[in-house]
Amino acid sequence: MNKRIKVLLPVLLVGALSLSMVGCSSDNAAGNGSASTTDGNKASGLPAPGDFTNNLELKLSGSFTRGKIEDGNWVQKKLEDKFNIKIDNVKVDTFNKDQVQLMIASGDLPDTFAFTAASMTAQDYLDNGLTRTIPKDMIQKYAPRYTKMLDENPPGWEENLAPGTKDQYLQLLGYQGHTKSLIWAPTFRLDWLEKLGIKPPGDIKPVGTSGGKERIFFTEKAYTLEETENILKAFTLDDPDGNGKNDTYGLLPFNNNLSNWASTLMGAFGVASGYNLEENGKLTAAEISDKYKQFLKLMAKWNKEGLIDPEWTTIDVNKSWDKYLLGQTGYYPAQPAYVGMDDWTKGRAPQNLVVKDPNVKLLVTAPEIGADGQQGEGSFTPVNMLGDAFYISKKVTDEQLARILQIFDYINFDDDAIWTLYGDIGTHSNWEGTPEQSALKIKPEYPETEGNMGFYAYNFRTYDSKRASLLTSEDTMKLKNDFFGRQDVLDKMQIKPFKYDLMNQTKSSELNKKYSGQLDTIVSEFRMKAITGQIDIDKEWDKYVQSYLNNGGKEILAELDKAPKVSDLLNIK
Amino acid sequence: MSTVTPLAERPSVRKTNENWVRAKRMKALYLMMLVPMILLFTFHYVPMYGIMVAFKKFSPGLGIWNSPWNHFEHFKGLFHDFLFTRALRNTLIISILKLAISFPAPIVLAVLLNEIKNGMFKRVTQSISYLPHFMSWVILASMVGEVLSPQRGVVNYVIQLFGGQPINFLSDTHFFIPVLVLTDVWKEIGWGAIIYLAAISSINTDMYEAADVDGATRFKKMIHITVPSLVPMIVIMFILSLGNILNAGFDQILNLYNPMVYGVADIIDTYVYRRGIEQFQLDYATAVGLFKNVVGVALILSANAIIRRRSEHGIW
Amino acid sequence: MNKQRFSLFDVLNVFLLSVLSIAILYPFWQTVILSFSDPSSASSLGVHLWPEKWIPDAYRFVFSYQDIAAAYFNTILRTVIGTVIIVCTTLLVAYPLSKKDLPYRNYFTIFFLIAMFFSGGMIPEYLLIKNLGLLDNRLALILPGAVNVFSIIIMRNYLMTIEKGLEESALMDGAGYFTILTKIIVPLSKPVIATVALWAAVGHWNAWFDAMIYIRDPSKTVLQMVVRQMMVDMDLSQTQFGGGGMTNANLLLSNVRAATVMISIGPIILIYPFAQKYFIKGIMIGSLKG
Repeated sequence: MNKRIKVLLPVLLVGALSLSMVGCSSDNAAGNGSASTTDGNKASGLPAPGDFTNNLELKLSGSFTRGKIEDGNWVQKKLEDKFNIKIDNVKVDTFNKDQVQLMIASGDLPDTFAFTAASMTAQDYLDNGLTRTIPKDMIQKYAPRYTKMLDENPPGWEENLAPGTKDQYLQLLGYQGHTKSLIWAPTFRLDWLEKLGIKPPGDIKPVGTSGGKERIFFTEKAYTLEETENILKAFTLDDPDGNGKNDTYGLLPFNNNLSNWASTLMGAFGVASGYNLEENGKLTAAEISDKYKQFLKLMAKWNKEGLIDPEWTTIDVNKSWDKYLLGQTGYYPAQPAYVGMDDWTKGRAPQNLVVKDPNVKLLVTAPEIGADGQQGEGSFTPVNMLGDAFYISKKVTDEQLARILQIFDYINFDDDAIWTLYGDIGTHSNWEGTPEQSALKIKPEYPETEGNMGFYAYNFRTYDSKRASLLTSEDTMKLKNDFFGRQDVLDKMQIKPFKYDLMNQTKSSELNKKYSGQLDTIVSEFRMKAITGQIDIDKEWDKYVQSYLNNGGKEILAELDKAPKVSDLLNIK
Repeated sequence: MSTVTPLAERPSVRKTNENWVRAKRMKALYLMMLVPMILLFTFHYVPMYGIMVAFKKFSPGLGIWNSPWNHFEHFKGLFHDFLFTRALRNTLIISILKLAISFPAPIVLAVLLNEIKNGMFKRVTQSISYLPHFMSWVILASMVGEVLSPQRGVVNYVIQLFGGQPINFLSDTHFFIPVLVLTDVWKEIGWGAIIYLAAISSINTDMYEAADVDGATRFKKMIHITVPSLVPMIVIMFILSLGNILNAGFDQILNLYNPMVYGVADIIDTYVYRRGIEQFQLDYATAVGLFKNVVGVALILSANAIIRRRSEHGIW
Repeated sequence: MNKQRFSLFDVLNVFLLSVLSIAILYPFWQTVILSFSDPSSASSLGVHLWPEKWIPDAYRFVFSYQDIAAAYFNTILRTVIGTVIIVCTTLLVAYPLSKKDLPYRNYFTIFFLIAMFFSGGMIPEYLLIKNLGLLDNRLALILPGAVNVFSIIIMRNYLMTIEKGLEESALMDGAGYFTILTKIIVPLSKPVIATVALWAAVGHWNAWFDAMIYIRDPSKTVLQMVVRQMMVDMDLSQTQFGGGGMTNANLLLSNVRAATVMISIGPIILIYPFAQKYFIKGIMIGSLKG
């Protein structure tokens, strides 16, 4: 009987497969969004801007949405009236990889979308027949403010041109004004420094006046790496909290998000996580560069001396916030918004401890200074301030696109459209401090985003300086204006990649996608073992670099070498 | 055999006829299976066309059906990737250890519980032993992390009481695997025992009584009656768990591991997750999934065949 | 015979099982304490067996964060209905397949076995649910898993071991197979039915992935999704400009997580002693008859 089963099994399998194929070919066609597009259509045959005679149905998804939108919400109704449309809300959590992946893989996409969790490039979407291109004349006709933004940020137009065309664009881009700043800064426990008799590197002034911010101080100056090391030593060994126990540590890293905790430390070596650089006249990846090796060696040394909290290998960034709250950590990196205590940063280190313990004082400094005077950190965007992507589904017709562009231009670039984010000021939201100069806060009785009000449900991540200021508290804004966002500081301290494929001229992003799983594994494993001293960095380094190159690194670098230099891209006017 | 036998007299044909007659008589039994079969066909067999993705270069816009074939490219790639072969090795090591330790643990628990005469104690112990099974690894992993924490955890507290140095169990390549196996036992021992307790409960009490008459000790009864009557169930469970040999516990490891222990703890599923799901390589992930299933089926079929040859037990 | 004093074996046995119980319980007790503790005392060094103060803030936070009541309702609903369905399909298939003289039995066995090992994957399953119009429908959480092959195999093997005498005489008396199944087989196989039911119930109670991909309406979500959101999504540091942060600066993330854990397992722990009584009774009745 068993033999028979063995023989029959494959037969049955094949049978079942073919049966199910027959059963399913219809499903498949339905999933394939087979609507045809009308390429190269002229905008002339379409209604004039502002002509909303035809009622259109649009299936919209925003760019920060978490699928909590309710049908018939306040913003939706107002938008529907204004543009004579009917909005079909898409309830997808754009941060959820599985949900987003299913939508993409099944071809079941909204008319507009910007998924946070997706890792496909604009070119991938187009090649896979999921998105349509956007003609230049339509952009100019229906989205004048967006057009102006692209004009002002070269090479805004060129960088998202569909390959092989002259006037078809892959996506709509955002201006990320909120990232025009150094992102990370080192913070030290000032109360500990005072107790240990260590002086701040320069004049210090409080970040704010209340809520604990009066105990957070800022200086434009910075410690050198050597000074930092001595401070960390004192933090660890000299009982800075005076409890008589040896239970404090200098540094509290975490096992994910290297670009958070080590951003300024790596910057002191002139290298930024994930960015390529030129070393000895050759293009190389940050993770196999000599500068990175020096960084690792310093961390390994610190670890050996006991300056690093040994639990870091098993905690992630969120758990490190909890751990910081115990008050046993002397140094922790923070964003300006953390120390400015913007709403969204509540509960994060290091401000969580300042709020909890009235005796805690904090010192925020500029990034540490390395051996050759190097100082800085990786810039948030590699070239200009344009980033992210808002896609138009393949199914969208030119008439729908015309309407979408006008809505897009209005919501994201018109100062009148702030109600789509914050409702009516005074009714739904209030200024946090000085009107027009501080952040807007939704009143507690309304949901901050989505829900029955629909705030932030239809916008795209594009923030000119005005929009960015709505999100940012006055104190954070001041920090940015005084230092972190100052143009001369940015010019000096932002580390940009050496080469970058801004115009999609190479296959590097495709290769990246193919190999990044392997490369990430190799890199993160080596990094953690190196820092914790499980391996001898000098001995293992060559083997590690070889392994990196052999597992796709070489191909990626060869392709990237064909890309333009970032310094050249920055000179395009 | 060159002589031609009349069709109706060929043994196979005769058997077929007999079968038909019997089948008609038992048609109620086929009817019973109808609804479950329809359900299974609809929700399981219909989507099986998705297996094709393993042999294709999947493009979402084209859909599963129209994506171009790339035949065995994904499978060929697997064995040229040293991270995959390492993951395969880790998977096998972890699985075999779990088979050796986590598999028998519930059997021992069931037998021991059966020997407890105090009903209350038995019930309470059993209840407690199920508890961890009700929770997902996301939750349990955070508990394990607390218990094993080098600074706050009770285990290291005890180690330090005896003058030892704290151990960071979860990022130590020597301790990580034992932790995996032990926490697996912790989570599943009580739950796994249920099926054996059910089997024990169906043992004919006459056998114990007869043994009592012969003056057998408790221990002897346990070894000679209870354990042997569990054998059929043990065999089934063992064969079925062989089919899972390439699933070394994705959820558990994903929630407990970190890059420090990739060398010993990165299993096929976690590696594919980092590569396939996070980077959207669905076709690759499907290919690996198919590979795992085929190995699992092959193992089950051969284990079943071997066991069937030696005894009457087996899963079919 | 066994009425004498406890033997060494008994003492050892009780000791062993008590150690096991404590080892299993300790992490849970720690979670209870963490969920009620003041952040600073909860995470300080050493072993804690009792919190300094019972602080319910974390629970308040969790209940205010999500609609836990709806999630509870949906989870209970799917667990009850889903379990009943699985037990029924398991019996309906296992009984015929346990009959050695059923013609073509092996073809049917293979039909079920293949389904245990091969599946089409997430995308075609999603498309199927979508085309059947079951998206955002609670049936999508129940129907795809309505037939559990693993349970069928266990049940079938169990049924093959029970005595056939009663069944054969009933057949002689002209009883139909369905009557035999409900009147004779079901009472005889209570222990294994209880086991299968428990498996199914826990499977449904813990399931979240199907809800994540098929359910969009928050009022139809299940408890484990809420748990997951608290445990995993609260992590997302990208929620920069969309709230989602914690509003009570005095709470630790781990307090909130511990409270979530307790909220999700609390009912099981409360109901368990009662359910357990019936469960064990089921096994006992089964054993008396078997």
